Formats: sequence, C-alpha cells, structure tokens
Amino acid sequence: MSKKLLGEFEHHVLLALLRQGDEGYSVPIIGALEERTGREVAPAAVYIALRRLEGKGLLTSHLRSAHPSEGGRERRYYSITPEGMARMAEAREVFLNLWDGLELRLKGAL
Amino acid sequence: MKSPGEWCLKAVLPRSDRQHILDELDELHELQVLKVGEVAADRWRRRQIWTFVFRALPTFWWRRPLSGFLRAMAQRDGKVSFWDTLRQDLRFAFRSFKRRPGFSLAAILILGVGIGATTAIFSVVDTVMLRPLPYPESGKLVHFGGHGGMRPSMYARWRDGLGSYESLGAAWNVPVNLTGDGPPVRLQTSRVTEDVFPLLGAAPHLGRLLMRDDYRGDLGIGVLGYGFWQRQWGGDPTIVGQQIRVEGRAVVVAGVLSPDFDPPEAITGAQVDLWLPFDVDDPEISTWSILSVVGRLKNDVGFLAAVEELRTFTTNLAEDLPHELVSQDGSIRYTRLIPLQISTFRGVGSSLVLLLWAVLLMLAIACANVANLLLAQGNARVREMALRGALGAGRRRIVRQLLTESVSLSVLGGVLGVGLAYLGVKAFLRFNPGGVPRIEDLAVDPRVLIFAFVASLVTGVVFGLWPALQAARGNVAEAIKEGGAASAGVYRGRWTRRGLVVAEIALALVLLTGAGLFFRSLLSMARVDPGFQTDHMVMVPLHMGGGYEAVQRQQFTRDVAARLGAQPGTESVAAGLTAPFQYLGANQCCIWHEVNEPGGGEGVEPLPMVMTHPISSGYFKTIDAPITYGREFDVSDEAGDGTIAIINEPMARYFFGTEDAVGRSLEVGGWGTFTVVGVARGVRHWGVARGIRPAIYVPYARWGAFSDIYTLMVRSTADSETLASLIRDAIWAFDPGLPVEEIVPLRQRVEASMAGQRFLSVLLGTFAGIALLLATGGIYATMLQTVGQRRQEMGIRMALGAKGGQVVGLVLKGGMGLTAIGIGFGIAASLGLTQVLRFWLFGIGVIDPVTLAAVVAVLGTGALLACLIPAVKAARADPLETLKVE
Repeated sequence: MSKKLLGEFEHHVLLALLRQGDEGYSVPIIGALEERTGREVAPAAVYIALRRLEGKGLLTSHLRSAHPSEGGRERRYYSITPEGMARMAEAREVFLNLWDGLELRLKGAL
Repeated sequence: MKSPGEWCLKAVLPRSDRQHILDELDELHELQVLKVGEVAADRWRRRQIWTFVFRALPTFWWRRPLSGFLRAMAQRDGKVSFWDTLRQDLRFAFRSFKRRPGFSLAAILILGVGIGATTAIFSVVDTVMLRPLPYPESGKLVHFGGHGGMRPSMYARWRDGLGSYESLGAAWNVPVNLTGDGPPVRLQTSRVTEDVFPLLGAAPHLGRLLMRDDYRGDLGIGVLGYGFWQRQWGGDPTIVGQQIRVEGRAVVVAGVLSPDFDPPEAITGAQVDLWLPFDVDDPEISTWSILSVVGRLKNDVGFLAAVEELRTFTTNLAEDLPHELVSQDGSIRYTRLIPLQISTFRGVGSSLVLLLWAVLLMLAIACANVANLLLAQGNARVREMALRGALGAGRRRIVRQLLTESVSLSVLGGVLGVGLAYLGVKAFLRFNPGGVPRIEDLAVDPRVLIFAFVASLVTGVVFGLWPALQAARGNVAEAIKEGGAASAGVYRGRWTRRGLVVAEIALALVLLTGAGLFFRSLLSMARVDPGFQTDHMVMVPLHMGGGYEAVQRQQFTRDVAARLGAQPGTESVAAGLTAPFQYLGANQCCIWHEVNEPGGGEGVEPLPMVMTHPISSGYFKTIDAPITYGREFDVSDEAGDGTIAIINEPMARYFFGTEDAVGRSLEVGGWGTFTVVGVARGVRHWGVARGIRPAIYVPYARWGAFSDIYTLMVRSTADSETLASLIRDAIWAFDPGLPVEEIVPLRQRVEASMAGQRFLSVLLGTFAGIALLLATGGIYATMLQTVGQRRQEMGIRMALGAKGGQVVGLVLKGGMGLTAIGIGFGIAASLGLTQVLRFWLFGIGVIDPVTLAAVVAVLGTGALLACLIPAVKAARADPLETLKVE
C-alpha cells in the first residue's frame, strides 16, 4: 500500500458525506455524524477534516448560495472524487479484513 | 453586535471561507435552538466559535495569508526573512539568559508575580462585570431599582403605560417551607409574572414552564430549579405532574428549568428553588412594596430614551398618586433605571475596580524594576552593542534584538503568571467573603489567557523599550576606545535608573498607604461596640408560614421560651422580627414607618423610614443591650393593647432633645400613637460599619405576630452543640414540622459583617507587601551596581585615608536621597489618589497621619537596609585590591 490509510475521523466524515448523495455541505454532514455516532461533533473538526481531505485530492468543493427560501446563505458543497471513492473502498476492505472471524468475540459486548 | 469570538474568527479565516463558515454556523445554531433552547444554543455557539478560532489558526492561517505578510516583512531586512531574524534573536536571547541565569530568573519571577496577580484580578473583573449576562441580547435588559421593592399596583401601571419595552416582568422572592415526606425543608421561591421566563429566554429541561393559564385560579402550579430538583429528588423525571406541599398548600410540578438557566441575581437572588406564578392584580398585596422589576427594551429604543420616558411617566403619575410618589418635602420619588448587567454587580463593582487599580500599580512597579535590571544589563553590554554596530548592525536591528529579549522574558513571566493566576483564582473562590455575583463561573479561560498574553507583550515592550533604545545609542568609537565599566555609556543610564527607583518608591508608597488605610479602618471596625454582647448568644431564624395564625405564633414563642429557659445554661430567651446583624448591609428586612410627634409636633420634621421593630419581652436583657432609662417590655405588656414603645437614644434626642422621653407619645405611620416606656442606648442593626439609626421597638405580641418571619434569640453558656440540640428539641416539641435550618452564633455574624473589609485589606496588603519587596529590591540592585561602578573612586578615597564609616555614609547618602525623593512624590500622589478610598474607610479620614507615618517608616527602614548591605560591602573592600583591578 503506497498511501497512508484514512484516519478514523476522516473516514467517518467521508461516509457521512456519501450518505448525502452526490454532494453535501457541512450542516447535514454534522447531523449525520451526530446521529450515527451518538456523540457531539465540533463543527470546526468537520471543516478541518473536509479541508484536509480536499487537500489530499479526495474531495472537490465549490461555493454556492442557498435558495432565497432557505435564507440565501452561502454554503460550501463537497463531492467525493474517484480517488476518494477508491480510498474509501480500500479502507472498507482493510477494515473488514481485520474484523474477519472476530465477530463472535464480541458476544456479550453487543 | 459582533462578539469578540466572532471578531477573532473573522480575522483568522481566509476570505474565501469566511462567509460560508459563518452562515453554516448560523444554520447549526438555529438547529441547536430547537434542540436545547435559546440560551443553551447561544452558549454552544460561543463555544464552537472559540474552538474554531483555535483550530482554524494552524489550518488556515499558517501558510497563505501569513506567509505573504512574512515575505513582505522579509524584504525590509535585506535578504534575511522575518522568521530567520526572529529565530536568530530568540536564540540570542536564550543564550544570554543562560549566561546570566540569576538575572533572568529574577526578571521572570518579578514579571510572573506582576502579570499573575493582574491576570487573576482581571479574571474576577471579567467574570463579574464584563461578560454579558447569559440571556439572549442581555444588553437590552434593564432593572427598575428603587428604595426596596415596587408595589404591584405601580408595576401594573408601568406595564400598561410604558412604551419602551418589549415586555416587563416582576418577581417577588419569598422563602417558604416545603413539607411532606421527611424533614421539612426551607427553600427559596420566586413568584414571577408570566413574562419573566420568555423575557430571559429560559427553557425547560423537563415538562414545561409557566403559561398564561397557570395565572388563573388558585396558582397551585410551579416549576423547579434544576439544582433543587437534583438535590431534593435526585433528578427523578417522574416528579413532573406530581404534587408537592409548599406551606401546607398543594403545588403541581409543571416542569424543571434547564441547568443552563442562571436566575438573574439582581432580580431573584442567585438561587431560586421553586418558581411560582404571581398574580399582579391580587388586591390583598397590591400596596406591598415587594417586587423586583426587569424589562426588555425594544430593539429601536436606547437606554437613555427609556430613562427619559420613565421620568416623564412618573412626573405625570405623581399628580394622580401623590401619596405614593411625592415625598414630604414635595419632591417626586423617581425610580432609577439601571442596565441589568450593572445592577447585578453594583454592590461589588467599585471594590473590584479598586483591586484592579492596585494590581496595575503593582505591575507598574514590577515593570520599573525589571527595566532597571535591564538598564544595568544594557550598560554592561554597551560595548557589545557598540561592537555589533561597528560590524554593521543598524540601530533598528539592535533595538529589535533587545526588544525580542525583553518580550521573551515577559512572555516567560506570563507563563509563570498564568500558573499563579490559576492559583490566585482558586484562592479567590476559596476565601472570598461571599456576596460576589456570578462568581461561580470564575475560571482561567481563553479570554483570560488572551488577556495574560497581551499583558505580557505590553509589559515586555513597556519595560524593554527604553533600555533597548539606551543600549543602541552607544557611540562605537568611544565605547571601544574607553572600554571597562567606567565608560560614558554607564553614566548615561544612571539618571534613568535613579528616576525608576524614585518612581518605584513613590508607587509603593501609594499602595502601602492604601493598604494601611484599609487595615486601620478594619482595626477601628473591630473596636466598634455594636451596642450588645455577642458572646454566648445565638439566633435562630424561623419561618412560621402556612398554618400559623398570629395568636399561635405568640403562644409558640412563649412555649419555646419557657421550655428553653428551664434548660441548664440558658440565661435568657427572647424573640423579635429579626436579630441584629441578621441582615447585613442594605435595608433588606424589617418594617419601616414615618414617625412623628402627635399632631405634627412643634418645629420638628417627621422622621421618614424609621425601623419599627416588634420584639418580645426580655429582648434587651437577652442581647445584653443597655436601657438608658425607663424599662423594657415585660410579660404583662403582652396582654395590653400594645401601644407602648421603646425608642433608642438617637430617636429620643431627635424628638425630645435632653428632655425625658418616657411617658411622651409618638405617632408611628398608620399604626397609631405609642407611649414611650423606655429609652435604649441603641444597637447597630445592619453591621459594624453602619451607624445607630433612629429606631422604635414595639411589642411583638401585638405588632409582630402577623408576619411569618420570626427570629429566636438565646443567650446560654451551654456549648454550641448541646445548645443546638436543646433548641431543636424545644422547637420540635411544639411543632415537629418547622424547619430549623440554622442556629447562628452572633459572634459569627459580627465577623461576617467585616468579612468584605478584611478580604480587601488582605488582598491590598499582599499587593503592597510585594510592592515593598520590589521597591527595596530595586534600591538594593541600583546601589549595588553604583558601588560596583565607583569601586575605583572608593578605593582612592580609602587610600587617601577615608574611614569605612565615611564610605558607608557616602553610599547611604546616595540611596537614601533617592528614597527621600520617592517618598516625597509618593506622599503627594497618595494624598490625591487615596481620596477615592473615602467610600470604603471607616473610623478614619483619608488623610491619616498615623498611617502615613507608619508607611514612611516601613519604606524608609526597608530602603535603609537595602542601601546598608552594598555600603558595608564597599567599606570592607581592600583599597589596594580595587585599585589593582582597575
């Protein structure tokens, strides 16, 4: 493996973004993260992760103003690049490989 | 209005990201409002913004905008970049610290103490005075302050007639007894009008808050404070919808307030256990002066406009209600309007500002001290700097390098200072005498850290700039040519250094005088005779609310007194509406009347606002306060119609001069005419610092038993634990459901009435002590160096036959001369500055010769010792050796 694996939080953020469809912005991403992890997430942490992922070429982004009915606010929309998708697939693979055969050990903890 | 956090965030974000991040944060904030309510959401937003500032800084700021700025900076210094220069200077600075560890440690320590104390006091000032109150748009909240409480009838007029407010709310704060399972509990309630919760942006944690319908019918519904809910029910959520019993009445719990909601201290007090609805239109209480009123100004109305409106409104109303609004002398009684934020810290604000000034004086002395040390350094390094100049360093370059050194010192001092401030804040929380609003939020947080950092930078520049400029002014040729310590450069800084020493001594004298005045007034407080004997005496505040009628209260007093009186050790038992020193400070209790001679008297104006104090028989005997003449109430008076009175000496003097007051009559407000049976010498009722005001005492049985406030007073020689259990047994023998929350020794109340003064004295004394150390240390260092520089001269003098004593005299003359000049300036300054202390002082004037003399003596002795050591050292030196060295 030539590249470094995705960090845990970066992985979470990418999954939350993937859940938004083709593209998404911070507010629903934070909502999905909080809902699915059951923890409070600092917006700053999410923004920084998104910026970092963009810097690595795994995301692209553009600014767009929301529809006036939604307050006409400015938002930065992110979408996952093909390289990003490939890295996610790789991360999932690694994760599943690592878990393979260990599920039974979790009995009682689940 | 933009918060400091938002301002910082805008500053650190790159322009391309600024708008969308702020917009998206707004969106998240709106979601939070729905989830946790407005107040908690505002807190969340503030927290997130600061998190953002600190996390965004390294991410966004490092490379792009800053690097451009740095590149620009780099151009100005030739080819070397800003960072390289800084790195070089820092390395140089740290090398020089290592070379002179003694000097560096001393400087860091001095700066650390100065910055630490300033930071600690700033954090208190910030928490108590500067931070906005935790309510939405809290700047729009105002408090209607006046003499005591407002009447509900007046509140209703305001609510209906004033146009500057979005809404007005009022609260009536009453302690009550919670009965039911287990021992009875005393709790603090606030009866509030329906606008209070929306006005403050309160949200429920469970259930709901009070609603319009709750204000109809029997008002048997309430909302629990979060803390009380946790304490009393361990956070049991099923309490919502259940009934609790308050003063024997059933109250249904509608909900629990959010833990984020802080009651507005100026309106309701810091702790409210139970919130109940208040019916403004209840005719029974419409004329009681009981309400605290808060208002929220409309967005487009300024504070001054609201003040003006209230004034006009009151002037017009005074024609309709002359009884309520016009004083005896014909002037209209206006209600003061105060921003809620200011009203909250009104009692302690001036003391905190005083402390801040004191600590800034101390920081100034610390700066002068370190500047002095640096100047000495600069002198020793004149050659080095001259050499650097000769090798091509510009003057600016040298100044910059020396400033880097001084700022590094002060930042290191600041790091130490933050540690000390942390300890200081802990100590403040532990030892503060109470009564400081919002103090529970006190902590060393990012705002305080930013303050400490800025204070360090400023300090570094303040004390470092002058020495740096001095050092960089060196004449290359001269410095290198002459060499040695006795070069021109050395003498150049001498006057500056002497000036600094003089300034240090003058500032220290001002601080010492201030602290001395506080200490002296504390002593004179401790010597004050409160008018009664405090030893072996306890008071037991009781609250006999629901279920008690006047007759029963009277009977209860008699029963308890009889039972306690039969116990070993009991000397005397009595009761009154309140005990002396029970309420400290303002007129927070009691019944007030206008007192006059019957028929208007002859030429004597009526006395407004006289405390009318219902007391039982044996009251003066129990508190051991002398009756000057006449008698005090006895048991037989309880059966009479109660129109007899005891007055104190100031009152007797006012109405009857030197004539005998016994047998004379006085008219007490709406209560009728009373015959004076005795004159008491007088008791200080509200603390040692408060004088003895005219007061009138009337029989409790007739005039006090209607009120549910009641205080038992017991004088007993039994030890405190035995006495406490005796008192509880005696009370519970007659009413097992009556909470006995506290049994307070009067001695303790007397101490408490001086606690604020003592605390201020200790803090000022500490600052002044440090200032004294710094100032004498400054003289010592200067004299030591002077002696070092004049070694040769001394050597020659001694070689020519001067005695050791003469040399000592020579050095002392120099040092003490500076001290004398400093003391002279200090006395002049302190005569002016201590005028502001007038407000705090007790029993002494601001110009107190004793204090001034003591301070001069202390400072003079310190300075003498500081000069003596270098002087003796100079006298002991072997002239041969010193001459040889040169």
